[in-house]
Amino acid sequence: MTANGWFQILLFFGLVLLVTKPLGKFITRVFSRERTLLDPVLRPLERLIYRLSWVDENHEMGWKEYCISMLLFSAISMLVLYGLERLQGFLPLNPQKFGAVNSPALAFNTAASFTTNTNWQNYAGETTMSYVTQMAGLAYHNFMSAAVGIVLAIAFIRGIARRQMKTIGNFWVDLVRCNLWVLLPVCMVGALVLVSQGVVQNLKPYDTAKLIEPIQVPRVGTDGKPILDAQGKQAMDTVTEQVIAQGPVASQEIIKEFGTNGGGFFNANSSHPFENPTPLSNMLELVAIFSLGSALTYTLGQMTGSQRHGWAVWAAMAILFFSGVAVAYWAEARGNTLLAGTDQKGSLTQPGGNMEGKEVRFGIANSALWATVTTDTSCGAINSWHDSFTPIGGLVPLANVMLSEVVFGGVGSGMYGMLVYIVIAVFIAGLMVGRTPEYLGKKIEAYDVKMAMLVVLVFPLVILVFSAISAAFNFGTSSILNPGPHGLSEILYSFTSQAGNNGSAFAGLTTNTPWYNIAGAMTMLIGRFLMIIPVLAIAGNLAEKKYVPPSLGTFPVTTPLFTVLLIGVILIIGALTFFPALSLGPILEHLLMMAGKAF
Amino acid sequence: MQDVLWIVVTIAFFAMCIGYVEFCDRIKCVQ
Repeated sequence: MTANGWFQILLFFGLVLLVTKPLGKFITRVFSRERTLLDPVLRPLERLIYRLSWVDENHEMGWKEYCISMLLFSAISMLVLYGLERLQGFLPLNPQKFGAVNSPALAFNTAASFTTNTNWQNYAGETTMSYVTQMAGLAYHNFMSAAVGIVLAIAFIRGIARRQMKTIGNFWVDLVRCNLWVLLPVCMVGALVLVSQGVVQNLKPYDTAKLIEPIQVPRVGTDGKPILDAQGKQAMDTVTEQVIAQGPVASQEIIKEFGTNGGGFFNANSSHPFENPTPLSNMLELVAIFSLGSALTYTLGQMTGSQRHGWAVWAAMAILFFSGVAVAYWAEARGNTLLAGTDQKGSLTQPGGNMEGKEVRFGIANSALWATVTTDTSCGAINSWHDSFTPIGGLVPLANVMLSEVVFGGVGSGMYGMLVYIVIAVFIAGLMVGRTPEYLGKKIEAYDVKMAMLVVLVFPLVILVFSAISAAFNFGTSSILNPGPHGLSEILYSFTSQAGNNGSAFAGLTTNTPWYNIAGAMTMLIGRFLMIIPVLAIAGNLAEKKYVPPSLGTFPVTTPLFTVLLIGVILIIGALTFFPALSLGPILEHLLMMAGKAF
Repeated sequence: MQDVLWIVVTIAFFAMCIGYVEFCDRIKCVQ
């Protein structure tokens, strides 16, 4: 680890802290329908949208109506995306003349992936998707799925803040205001900033460049495995030209980070120079990933009238973030002990140190930082290869997703995930002091805890069941490119990432197969919607409750003790659930590495 | 043909979700 590396990590976090309050205040104003600077431009547009879509903006919804509206919106959006993928060959803005996404199961997986804010990609964007699919299908979902997450968090916060009311807002109004006031303005400015750094934005056909020297590359099959020639040797292809893919990248790149979506325009995601060209773009994209999650803690404080509670939640997230990034950075800077003697330490010939799997332009600190940030949230964009990290370095992103991505988290989903943990934390605290648990003046009762447990249980259930099936049968294990515990880590990471709607891949697993397409799609849908429903049920139930003034027996949720308890609950639930699986994957791999065996 | 299958699966999943909304609501009534 270097001072320069830590300086960059602290600079990043300082920038996140800087945007937390102003953005959080702005979000509060937007969802409280208070006047903002953008109103003269956006309010007429908003009214027009409601008129065209027959939405009564003054209609308030109970939690069931809010939830069913969200489900219908998501279902129709998912079907439209599926249709776009399958019909793109007949649609305009397709200069590369791509045909339909050729496997219906892959199209289904991708439609589920972008509808759920996961952006798991079993395809390479630049060789599969036309511009119209990228823009009207994938980028559209990047906005909408992010907005859905944010409005659900806002609905939950309203549930806490409201007293003896049966409503938690209007889904359609929240969705429109989130897009018009929060996501679109920031993304329009952000996309221009990225263009200034070299991110491409055009609708041109791909360019072709002739290579100065032809190169030999190993031939691989569609499953990613090497193809052998008649003599049993690796078959090689001679490449004489390079196709330079381009397209409307910047407009998709900024919402990919700001909305914690993560799906790259290019297969190489944010390690591609057209997506992430400079150290400045790297830093701005990192800040974009954390900014909404961090700001929502301020919004929580403002809307519930307890700013100190918002900061207490923020502190829990910050501590978990620093713990993760410190471990990842330490493990990756230290390198692989089995490779002692190779150039893993910074030297004159290799100043970066352990470059295995890293983003070589930005170094170890920025690779470890990105891996931590992208999995603390449900982003899933990558600038380095998690599969190539050391076992402990790779454990950090995996563990982050297993903790339900509540460290600033996916936009909105991190906040409502954290609020579920808070419900459990105050319930446990209430049991310890022998009083009915209370949270910001609301009694936490049996129904709230039952719903919280449904949220907490569905996540490991879907991960462990699908991982176990994949590890037990040939249709799952035949996709593994690395044997032993590393192979299990690849499977576990795949389903964890999809259930957590993260979307980053550990790599090393061929997932464009019927099994992984179908199982993955179901994992993403279950991981998103079966968690959201009980979350909204809690919100609706809290909104109906009357306010109970704090008493001597009330556990304060504004103190360092609360922060520590919250972290403890998150870690204990995560550890109890996933430790057996982790011990057979990355932990065993680390121990075997120390004993001299690598995979 | 497979397209029809995945469209039906999508609709069935969201219909199941709406059923789950009802389930979560009814748990409250039977407490």
